[in-house]
Amino acid sequence: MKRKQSDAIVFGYNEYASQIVRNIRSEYRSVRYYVMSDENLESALEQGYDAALFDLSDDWEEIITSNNIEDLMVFCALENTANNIFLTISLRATFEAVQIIALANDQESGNKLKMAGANKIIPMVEATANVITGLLESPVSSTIVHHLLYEESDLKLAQITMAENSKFIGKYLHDIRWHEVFGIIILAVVDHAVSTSFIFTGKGQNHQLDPGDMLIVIGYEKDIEAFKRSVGGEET
Amino acid sequence: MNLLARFVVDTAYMRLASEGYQRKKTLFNNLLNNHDYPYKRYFDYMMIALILMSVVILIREVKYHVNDVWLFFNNYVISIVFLTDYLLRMWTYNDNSKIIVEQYEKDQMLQRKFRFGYAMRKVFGKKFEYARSVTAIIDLLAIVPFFHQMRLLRIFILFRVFKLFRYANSLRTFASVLATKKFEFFTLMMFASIVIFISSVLIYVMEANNADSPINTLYDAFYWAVVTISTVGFGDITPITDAGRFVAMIIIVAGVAVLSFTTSIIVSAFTEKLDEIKERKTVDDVTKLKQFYLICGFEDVAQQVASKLRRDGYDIIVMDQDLEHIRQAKEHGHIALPYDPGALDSYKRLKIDFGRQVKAVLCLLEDDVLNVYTALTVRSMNKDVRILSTLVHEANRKKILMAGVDEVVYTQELVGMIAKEFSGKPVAIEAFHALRSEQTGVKLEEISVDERMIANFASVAELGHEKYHLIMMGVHKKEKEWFLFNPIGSTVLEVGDILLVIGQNVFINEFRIHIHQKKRKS
Repeated sequence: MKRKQSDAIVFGYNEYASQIVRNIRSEYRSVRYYVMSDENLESALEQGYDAALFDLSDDWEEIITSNNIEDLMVFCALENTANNIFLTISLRATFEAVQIIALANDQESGNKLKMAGANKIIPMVEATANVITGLLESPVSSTIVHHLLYEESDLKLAQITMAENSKFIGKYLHDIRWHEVFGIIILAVVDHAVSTSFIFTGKGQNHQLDPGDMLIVIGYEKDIEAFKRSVGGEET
Repeated sequence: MNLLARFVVDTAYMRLASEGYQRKKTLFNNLLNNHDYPYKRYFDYMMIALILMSVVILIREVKYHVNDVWLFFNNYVISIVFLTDYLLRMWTYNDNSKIIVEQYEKDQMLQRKFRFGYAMRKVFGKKFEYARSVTAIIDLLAIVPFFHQMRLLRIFILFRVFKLFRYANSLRTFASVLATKKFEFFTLMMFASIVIFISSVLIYVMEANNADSPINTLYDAFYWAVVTISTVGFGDITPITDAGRFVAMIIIVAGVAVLSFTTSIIVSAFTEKLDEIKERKTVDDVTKLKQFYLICGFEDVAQQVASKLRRDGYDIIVMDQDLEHIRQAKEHGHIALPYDPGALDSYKRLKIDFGRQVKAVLCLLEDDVLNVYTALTVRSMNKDVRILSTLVHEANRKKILMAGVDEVVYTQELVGMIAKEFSGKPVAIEAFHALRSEQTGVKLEEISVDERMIANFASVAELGHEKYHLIMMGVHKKEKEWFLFNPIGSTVLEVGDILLVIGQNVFINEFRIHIHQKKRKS
């Protein structure tokens, strides 16, 4: 995977952080904990993780020189919301290019984190509530979506960018019965030339395919591979 | 033991053993006294109707001739119904057989002669205890108009109105609230009586001998005192002597005190009982709900879950010991109860029928210990109800599962997974989340296949979902628990299957209607 080239660091040492590390380990070249106390540092090192100390007043330059800033993914998972926001804003102030993903308790802290410069927010409460209501109201689709998102089945979600020379350039989305020809479902298209919002096929929106359009598809791995080859696109 | 005693004891034993007798007694007891018995309501309505009818007849009779049929109905039918009601109440008040048998067995154990007379005294004592209660006396007086020849007694029909207290729920609440202030009312009554007594005697002494004064008898004086102390003051009788006027001034001042005191007692009785009344109302509401989700705890996650479920049209009940949380829940318009979700007593008080009423119990307290406790409590009452719980610390997962929770949601794990998503295909994930958030107008919907649909649409191709711009994401086969992604047209549909379609809300609704309509044969 392409991501293997980049590094990730996780701020915080708690159950959230450890779950993040456990899940993203396979996606990055290296994953490193940044913890606030000696005790946590010891514990992390003991468990075989790469870890280092930091505190909020620190000079960030020194901490992150060891990493390739351009391709760095940062997870802010401090338990204290105020600290997490402060951490995010400090990081953003120092490094413009890093990808920052921050944990947010609620809508309010989510907004603050976005303002502080986080690229993505993980809304904990909302995510949990969604999963619970999903399980209650529509158990089948919830389970399938869960498997799809967390790659626990053969079904995959993929994003494929149209190549310049693809034979489908200029064709309309609804002209081709993708699900019959390729066995995949095109969920949405992102036409970066027009806007960054999604064009949902399910909404009945038609769209002329241009080079650089990103197709969001669902399908089995081999079908996606075949589709990719056929449209001449690449998975991003 | 003489023959009579022998017979009484035998009958008592027989009654205790007789299932039919006990069943009948329970039935009538439920009908008359058990407020939770669903059919009691209808009985109450019937009695209220009878009471109102007899009052209407009484009023009509004052100036007009009332049809003989109605009179017969009033004098005999209603009276007999009330008499039966009275006797049944007396019957269900206590269990005579039990008293006799207990006494008999006690005497047997002590190896002495059965004290028949003593036992009978106890039996009649109990019945008398019922007969002398206020409500029983009112009941009895309400029957009296039966003897309609005694014309004076007709006014006793008004006692039937008092009977309303028995059958109307809100009136009962009102009476019970006022009953909590017995002492205050007693004090007030004493004060008022003394003032009335003194002032009526005084005014009588001052005015009765004065030829110009309208007060001639002690009864006049008493009437004047009551009218004045109540601050009504008709003005038909007024004192004319200086001394009499002085008495009037005193009683007027006292009247203000009496009136304000009465008002404040009633108001304070209600403020004190208001929470209790409201709570009772909530419990009543809960009993009436057909199906609901029981949410234990009302912290962040629970709040969002509650709002979402409500928005989607489900009934929910929030239970949390924290009064601040309950206040918030009520602010959001939920039914909320300040009970401990981990205590059996809470559920008993609510009279929840887990099998019938509860769709699922959600343990959303932010403490694993409390969630385990709640799950165990619920499980101890019902083996089958679905329990879902959040997990705060991974280490407790096993305990939560052992407590009988069916599904565990662990936020930290979710966060980890979302982090992984973001690391992998951020745009795809975002598109998917947008789809699920339903803000885009597009959604992923489950449609279950029923018999009606099967009759018209046997396979996926026949559904015609493409006309509605829907994407058929897959079919979940019930039998094999399979998910067929992107099903081919010839996929056979069976009852219980679930279709997953993606599309616009409006089109999905149209599609639902379409597949449930009978196909026209052309």
